[in-house]
Amino acid sequence: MADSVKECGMRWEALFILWLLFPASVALGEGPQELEPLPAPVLSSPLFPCSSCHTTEPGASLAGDSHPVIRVEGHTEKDYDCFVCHNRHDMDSLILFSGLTAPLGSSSRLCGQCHSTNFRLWSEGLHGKLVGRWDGPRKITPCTACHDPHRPGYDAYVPEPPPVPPEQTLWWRR
Amino acid sequence: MKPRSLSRRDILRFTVAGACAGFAGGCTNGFDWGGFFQKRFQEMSPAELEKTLLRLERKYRRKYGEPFQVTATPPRERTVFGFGLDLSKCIGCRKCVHACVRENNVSRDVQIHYIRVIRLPEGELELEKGDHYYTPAAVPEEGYYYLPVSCMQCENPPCRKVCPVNAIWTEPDGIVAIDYDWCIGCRDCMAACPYRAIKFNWTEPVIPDDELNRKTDFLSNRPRVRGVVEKCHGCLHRARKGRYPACVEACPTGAWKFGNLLDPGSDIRRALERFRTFKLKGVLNTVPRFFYFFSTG
Repeated sequence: MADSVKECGMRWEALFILWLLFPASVALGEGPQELEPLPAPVLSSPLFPCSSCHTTEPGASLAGDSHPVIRVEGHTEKDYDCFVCHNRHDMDSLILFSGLTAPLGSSSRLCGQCHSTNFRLWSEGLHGKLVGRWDGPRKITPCTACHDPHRPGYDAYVPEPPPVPPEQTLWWRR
Repeated sequence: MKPRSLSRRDILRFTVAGACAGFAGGCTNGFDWGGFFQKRFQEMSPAELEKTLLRLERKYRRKYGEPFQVTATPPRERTVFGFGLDLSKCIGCRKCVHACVRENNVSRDVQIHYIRVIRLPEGELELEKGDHYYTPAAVPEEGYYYLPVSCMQCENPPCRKVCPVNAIWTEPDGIVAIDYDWCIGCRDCMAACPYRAIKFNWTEPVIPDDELNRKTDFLSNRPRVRGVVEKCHGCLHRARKGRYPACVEACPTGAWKFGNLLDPGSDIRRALERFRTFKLKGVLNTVPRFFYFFSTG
């Protein structure tokens, strides 16, 4: 009886070690292939990097028109101030909810905190666009390639011309 | 004296002489005898295919000028191409349509589009309620969604079944291909296709010289002539070299998915595993390799 309990204990230890090792085995490439994002575009090119102006801690509002690139709409309109996403102590980095900082380009980590469904699809290559080869190396567009983080809705598009109806196309019916 | 009647020998003599004269005349007029005796693509031996490609290159160089390249990219092993389309992401911008036209040397004047983007009112999947001539100032429009339709690369294609001369067949990688030289222009396939994917060249195709794609493939984007049908071939000249088809590459939102249906890591397989997909007019048992799905609401 005592022996069997001992065996049980050993099994639990083994399972515990396996549990500890599990994330490592996933990271070693047994899970689905991770997609690398393309470099993020610079969103405010004339003003970049932010620290060229912001040497001290800035105010929380977009005063005046000092940021012509940022449209006050969507995320910037209400509810949030700049420092939900931007690090108030270092304007060249972003701040996550955990308190960790992230470089300005790593939008997926920041956006994924709230938009978890889209983040999951994005990391599987199903949200956003894959660029490269279908059979080999391909990269995925980062969030900010399509969505302006200050106003994440999609812009309206001017559609390309429609097909010409057949009655206008064929020379004997013109 | 009895007038001499034409003997059997005389008739044969005249016939042969006439044929020879016609042959000589044909040669001097530049009649394409090689094209006249060209076999069906599937029946050509590798050597014959090589000769045919060279002859076609010469022909197209004469017609369109240098440089011109005609290849016949072979299909890959263990590959079946599949398409996917995320209807939540499609904004109806028609970028795919025009990228396809530029890539595939499709006639511009008498217009042919391989992809038809159908605008449907929300809550409808009845294609007859759709409209593909929509011209709003901006897309996407409120209350509509967009359904691009091209060739479905069916596993059981009605066009292949009705073709009287076997000019349509399924390639080993699942692409339904047309031999433009073997097509007699009867348009039975157009009538048979439930997706209206096959288009007919009513006139000699008109392509502006600066927009001509000079890297062509026998089964895909080489210039067509008047009186043959054509349709989407999955950009097989690109896909067989590992590139995305032109429509997939041009889509600004990433709504198009493409990949190898046999590879569990491919884009299309991931989409099939994650989303509930449907096939257009699946009830007709054409078994399309083109899957539609809604990724979000």
